[in-house]
Order: sequence, then C-alpha cells, then structure tokens
Amino acid sequence: MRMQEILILKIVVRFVIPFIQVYGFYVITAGHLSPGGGFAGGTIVAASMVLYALTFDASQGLEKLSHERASLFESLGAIWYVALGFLGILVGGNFLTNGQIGIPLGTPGYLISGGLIPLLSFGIGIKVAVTVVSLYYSLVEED
Amino acid sequence: MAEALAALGQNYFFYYALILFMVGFYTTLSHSNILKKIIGINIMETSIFLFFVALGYVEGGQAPIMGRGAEGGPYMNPLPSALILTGIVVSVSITAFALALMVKLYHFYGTLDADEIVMLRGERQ
Amino acid sequence: MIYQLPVLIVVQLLLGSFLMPIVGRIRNQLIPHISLFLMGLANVFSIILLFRVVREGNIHYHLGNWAPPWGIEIVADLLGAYMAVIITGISFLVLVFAWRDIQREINYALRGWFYTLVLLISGAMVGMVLTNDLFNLYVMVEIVSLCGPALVAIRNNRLAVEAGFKYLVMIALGSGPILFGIALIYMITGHLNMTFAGQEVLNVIHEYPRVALLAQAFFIVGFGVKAALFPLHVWLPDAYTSAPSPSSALLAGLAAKVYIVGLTRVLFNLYGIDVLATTPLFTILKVMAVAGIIMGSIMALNQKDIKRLVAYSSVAQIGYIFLGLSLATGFSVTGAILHILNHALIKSMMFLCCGVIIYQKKTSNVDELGGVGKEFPITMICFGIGAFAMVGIPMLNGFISKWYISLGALEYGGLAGLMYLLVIIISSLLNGLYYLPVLIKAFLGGDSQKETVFDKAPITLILPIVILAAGIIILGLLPFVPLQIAADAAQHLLGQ
Repeated sequence: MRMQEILILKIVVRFVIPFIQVYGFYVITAGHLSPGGGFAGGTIVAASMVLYALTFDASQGLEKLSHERASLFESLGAIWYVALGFLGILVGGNFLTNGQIGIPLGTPGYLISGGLIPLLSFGIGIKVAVTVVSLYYSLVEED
Repeated sequence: MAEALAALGQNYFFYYALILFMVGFYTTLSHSNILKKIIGINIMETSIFLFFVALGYVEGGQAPIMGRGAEGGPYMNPLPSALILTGIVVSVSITAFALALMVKLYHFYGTLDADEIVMLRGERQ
Repeated sequence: MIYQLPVLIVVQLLLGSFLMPIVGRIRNQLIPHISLFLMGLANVFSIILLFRVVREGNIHYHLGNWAPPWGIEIVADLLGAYMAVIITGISFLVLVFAWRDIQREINYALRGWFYTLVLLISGAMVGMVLTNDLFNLYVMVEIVSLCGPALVAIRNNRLAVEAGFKYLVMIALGSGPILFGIALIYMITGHLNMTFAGQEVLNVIHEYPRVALLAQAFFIVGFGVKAALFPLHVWLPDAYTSAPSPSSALLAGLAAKVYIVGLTRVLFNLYGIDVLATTPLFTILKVMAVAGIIMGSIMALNQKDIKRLVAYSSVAQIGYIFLGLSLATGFSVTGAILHILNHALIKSMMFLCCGVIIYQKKTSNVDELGGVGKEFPITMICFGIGAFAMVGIPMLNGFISKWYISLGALEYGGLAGLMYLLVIIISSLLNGLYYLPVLIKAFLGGDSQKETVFDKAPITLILPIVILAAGIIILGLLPFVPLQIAADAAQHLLGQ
C-alpha cells in the first residue's frame, strides 16, 4: 500500500504538525534561556514540513514552499543577521555589539532578555528551517 | 603498567573516539560505493564530535544555566557543545552536498560504484 | 572607520553573496554589476587596510566588544592584510573575466549561483587569513572547502560532477583532522584564541608532548589535503581541469594558498619556531615538498590537455611554498610568502589564458592548438610571460621568489641546503621542458584545424589577463614593496 493512501497517517500527521511547529518556535525563542536556539529549533520546524511532504506528496509540499521562495527566505535570514550585526557599528561599537545598541537587556532567565541574541536566533531559525526543507526537496526531486 | 591502565580507564572515551575516527577514515578510503564513502565521512566527524563534547564533561556538573532556574554547583563546560553544534552544521552541509552530487553522478553514469565511474569516465574522455 | 575595515571586508562579501539570489529575482542582469562593485570595494578596503597596517601596526578587532580570550578576535597583521589584497584583487579580475566567459561554460539557471559562490568563497578566504580564533578559522576553512567543489561541479557535466565529488570527499577527509587538532589544542590549553593558546602550549608542552605532536600531525594532514601537498594532491588535476576556467583560476590561484596561510598561522602562532624545530614536522614537510616539486613537474611533462598541464604544475609550485616555509630561515620564509603572491598572479593568469583559448577554439588538446599564437597574439604572449615567470627567468616575478627560496636553502646550509638548491634548479628546467613545447607549437606550429569562434576575443576576457601579465612584469622589475612586506611578515612569523 502506498504511503499516500493511509488515512490514519494523514489525519494523525495533520494533527501533529502544528504541535511540532509550536515546539520548534519555542526552542528558537527560548534559545538564550535553555539548550537549543536557532539551529535546533529551525531543524524541528523543518522536520514538520518534511513530515508533511513525506505523508502527502513532495509536489504538494513544494507548492507550499517553492525553490525560489526558499532561496529568498534563506537570503533574508542571513541578511537579517548581518544587518543586526551592523547595528553595533552604527552606535560606534564593534560588529555584533550587544547591550549598547538600545535593545533592552532584561533580566537574565526571562524571555525578554539577552538583547540581540533572541533576534539573531530568530534569523538563524528561519534560515535553517528553509534550508533543510529545500535540501530535502532537491534530493527528492527526480530530475 | 597499572598507571597506564588507570590512565586508559580514565580516558577511555579518547581511545573510543580515535578508534571511531579510524573506522570512518578507513571506510571512506576503502569502499568503492559512494554512499558508503559518505557514511564513512559521517562516522569520522561523529567521532570528533564525541571527543570534543566529552572534553566539556564535568563529573557531577549541572547544565550551565544562569539566573532563574540555576542550580549552582559545578557546571559543565558549555563551550564544546556550542562549538560542536557548528561542527554538526558543517557536517550536515557536507553530507547534503555529497548526497546531491551523488544523485547527479547516478544520473550521469548510472552507477554508484566509484571504480566503475572512473572507468566510464576514462572511456568517454 | 579604518578600525572597522577587517570585519567590513568579510561581512560585505558575505552579505553580497546572500543578496545575489534576491537580486536575481528582481533583475538577473544586475548580478555581475553588483558583485563586481562589491568585490572592487572590498579590494579598495583591503588596500587601505594594508596601508594602515604597514604604517601603524596590527589592528586587533574584538567581535561584539568581547575581549579575548572570551570573544572572537580578528587580527589584521601584515600577512593577513597582504593576503586580503591578493584575494580580493584576483577575485575581482576573475569576476571581470567571468562576465563573458561563464555565458558559455555554465547553464543559464546556474549563472547567478556562480557569483554567489565567488563572493562567498572570497569572503571566507579573507576571513580565514584575518582571524585569530581557531574555531573561527575552522568555520572559514569549511566555507572555502564547500565552495570549492561547488565551483567545480557548477559546470554540471559528467566530468565536472565526478571531479567535484572526488574533491568534496578528499576535502571532507581533510576537515576531520583539522577539527580533531583544534579539539586536542583546546584540551591541553583551554583556549581557542591562537595568541593565548600559543602561550599556554609553551607551558604545557612538557606535560603533554605527544598530544601536541598529534595535533600537529592532524593539522598537517588536514591542511595538506586541502592545499594539495604532494601525496595528498590526487583530487587536484581532475578538479582544475573540469572546472570552468574562472573557477580554476580562483581555486588554483587563491584557495590552495589560503590553506597554506592557515597552516602557517596555526603552526607558527601555536607552537612557535623553537618548539617546531624540536619536532620532526619540518623534515616531513621538506620531504613532501621536494617530492611534490619533482613529481608535479614530471607528471606535467606528458599531459596533452593544456589545463591539466597547468594544474600539475600547481602541485610543483605548492611544493616550492612548502619548501620555503619548512626551511624556516628568514630568506626562505620571505620567498615562500612572496611566492604565494607571485604564484597567485601567474597561475590565475595562465588558467584565464586557457579559458580564452578554450573559449575560442573549443578544445584544450595541446596537439590541436598549433598556430594559436598567430591568431591570438596577446593571449599567447601573456601565457608565455607566465610560463617564463614560472621557470624563473630574471626580470619576471617568479625569479624573485625562487631566488629568495634558493638563498634560504643556502642559508640553511650544509649538504642538504645544496640538495634543495639542486632540486629547485632541476625543477626549473623541467618547468621549461613542459611549457616550451606548448609555446613552440603555438607560435611556430602549423595552422590549427579548428575553426575560430570569434575573430577577436571580447575585451573583458583580454583585460584581466593583460593586467595580471603587467603585474608579473612590474613585480619582476620592482619587487620592493611586496618584498618588504613579506620580509617583515616572515620576521614576525619566525619571532625575530
């Protein structure tokens, strides 16, 4: 029996994917508080999308995230990181300066803390998620 | 002798990592199947990750979390883990790139055997 | 502002490479313009940086204001700034050349990615020569390593993909040992900053002599594979032959050199010359370098493919650089550092010449190239200048660096020194032996059977070659500025 025809799998996957994605975003946003961060969380988000493509069809998954859009998001994630790094130079510090650039540092241990770091891991998370998914698609494609 | 054995027992993960490293290296060089070569590279890199992360282990140490939820006491060294995360990214990129090239190679030559590919390449040149 | 330059050069190149896919979505034709602009800007910045470093000394840049040993430190010293100028300059000329050339060599869909890769690899190369942090070095090494096979396989035919895969496997085998070496150094010193780790190595070397030696061995194997040190060079001929010509010029002219600089930095900064002299490292390197010099030239002798011939001669020239470094005298290290510049100029120019010939004749077989010298005098004269510089004819830049390496061999002294001198002389003769037939056939041979594609090569193909050839002659006549920089950098490395 082909994977695509299993009804139970489809329904369960539909139900599970949002939870995986929420967990992935949790790992990304809590990267400065606990083990995890952009790369780990991004991979989890990507896993949810790969799961979608596995149970349904790669072409259906590709409709949601085409190659052009994927490369756009990859670039934007990296540019976001570099742009945040340049903020440090703008205020007269060094590249990637944290603290002096006006983003509140907050109390250590709470969600809003760490200044630049959550924003950086957000960019990394997007880039990693999109990259891993598009890697999967490019390998799966038959041409 | 006893000293050497004690040192061996204390640092057993060094030897384990070295053995794993050699297994990976040997697999990559000796197998002609391209997929096995890629697996060999992965084994080799995993051994280094094992070694590096093991360096940061502190007997009875806590996870190094500051501020709220901190447990105090001796902490693990977080630096090796953070570095190895980067190492894993590199390893994933190498693997993905190698797999993509492998798909291309199969498309061009119709085989995954490195020796056969070299022969085919020589014929058509 | 000048203080920010070391990081600005790296970041703007990396940023440019990420921008290219977006630019490609908006307007595909803009990609070459923007990447040329960014590379030119990077070149100007590197020249300013070099001036500043020569005048006022090193720039120590702490990323995110975290002071070492905790933060990542970027140090623009003489060697780094000098390499940055070479990298950005030659990448710029290669990009000019690629403007027309890649239209024939690369599929339409992949052209934008070529520019992405070139910007990425040159940014990473600059980062690699400027960084003072071991792990940062590893990351940059990996970026360069991954871009290399991509630049080869981008041609997307059966030969290029196979060569790219072989290159990738070899280079992945090289990155494992480098990371292992870094782990060992971190284990015994607890530092990743090279300056601090170097001070600590001196303290602990008596406690852990074998670990330090093992790390050294790992570094040599890892960087040796990537730089194509002789017995580890097997990926090189295929990769350089099947890559598009601009990629070959970049990889042969720059990427291989950058790994040598990385190895030099790691070894000399971590261990220092005194410790290195007590280990068998230099002996091993010398043996490998001499074997590379001789074998590379011998293997180049019976090559029919012009690009393969030039590629094999790279193996020999990399042997020269390693020989100069491993003799470890003031003159020889100066010669080696100078040879990095000279060989980068010569080799990228020769690959670009091959590119023009292949562009026009659609063949790379030496036998079919009879009489090309009459058809394309400028290209072939430049090729001849490169060949003579490689042989080491006085008035050309190759002579100066070979002269200094030979002086280093004499300074090394004894019978061994004379033997190294003999090796250099023999290899120069061999260089002549395999380059002269090509030139004789090109200028004196009968007319080629192959039809010419264009009457005149486009100016963007000729201009970079002419500039590089002019550089070879100018540096051959007036080598004072780079020579002074190389001598100072060598003194710094040797800690005198």
